Amino acid sequence: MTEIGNRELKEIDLIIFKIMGVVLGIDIEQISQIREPDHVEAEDVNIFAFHQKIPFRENKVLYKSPKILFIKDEWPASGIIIDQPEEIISIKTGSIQPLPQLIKKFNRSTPIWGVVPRGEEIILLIDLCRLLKSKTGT
Amino acid sequence: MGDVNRQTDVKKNVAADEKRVELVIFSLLEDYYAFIGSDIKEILPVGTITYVPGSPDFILGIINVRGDIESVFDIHKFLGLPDVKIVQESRIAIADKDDVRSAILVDSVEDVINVPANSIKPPISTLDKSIQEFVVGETTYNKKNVTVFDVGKIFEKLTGRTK
Repeated sequence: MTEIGNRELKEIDLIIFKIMGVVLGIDIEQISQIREPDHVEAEDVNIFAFHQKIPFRENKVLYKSPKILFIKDEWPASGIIIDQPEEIISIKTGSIQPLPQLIKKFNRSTPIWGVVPRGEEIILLIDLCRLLKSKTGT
Repeated sequence: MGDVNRQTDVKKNVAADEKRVELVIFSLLEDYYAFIGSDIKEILPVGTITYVPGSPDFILGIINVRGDIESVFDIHKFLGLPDVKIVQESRIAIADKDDVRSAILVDSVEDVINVPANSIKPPISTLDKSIQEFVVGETTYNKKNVTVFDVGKIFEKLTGRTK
C-alpha cells in the first residue's frame, strides 16, 4: 500500500467542544484527564482558560459548563479550561486540511494545526502542547 | 509599400480595439468597484463563516467550499471603510492570483461585464490614498464610476510578498 493510502486510513480520536460557537477538537492522545474545576487543587498545577492562550474577538468569553483538560506527561501538571466536551469522534487523517495560507500568515504561532470539514461545520484542530506553551494574554 | 504599412496599422488598431477585459462589478457601501474577471474563480452567496480565534479583524474566518477550506477576508476592514452587516445581497468572491487564494466578502455583485481594455482609464489622482496602491484603473457602469482593483496587489499587501 502507498504512503498516501496509509495516511488516508489512519484515524485519530478527537474530543470535541465549542467555545463561543467555534467547534474545536483535541487529539485524545494528548490528554491525561478531564476534571471539574471545583475538584482541582490550585497548588502545583498551571491552569489557563482557553481564551487566555488564543484570543477571541469577543471581549468576554463565556464557559457555560467549564472543564479542565490536563495534558499528558507534563510536570508540574498543566491544564486548560474549556467548555463541556460534546463528543468524541474518530476522523481519518486524510480528511485533515491545513489552515489557508492567509490565516497562517497572520497566526504564525497558532496552536491550530489543521481543520476538518464536517457538514456545515469546520472543526479547528488544536495542539494542546502548543496551546499551553503559547503566550498568555488577558 | 505605404499601403502595406497602413494595412498593418489598421490591423493593429482593430486588434487593440478588440482586446477585451472581463470585470466583476461589485458594491461596497454606495460605490461600485471591480475585480478583473480572470482573478475571480467563483461567486457564492454567504454561508457559514467559521471564525478562527487569533486572526486579525479583517479576516472573518474560513468557509467550506465543496470540501475545500478557504479563508475569507472583509475588504471593508482591509480598506478602512465603515463596517456593514452581512445581508441577503452580500456575496463571497473567491479570488486566486499569483498562487494566493482567498474569498473576499463584498456587499453585492452587480454584474459581470466584458469591456474593451481601453475603456479602463488610469485612476484619478484624487483617489483615496488608502486604496490607490490596489487600483489599476477606472471605468463606468450604469453611468457610475467603477474603481478597478488588482487582486494581486491586495494579496501582495496581505502576504507581504512581492512579485
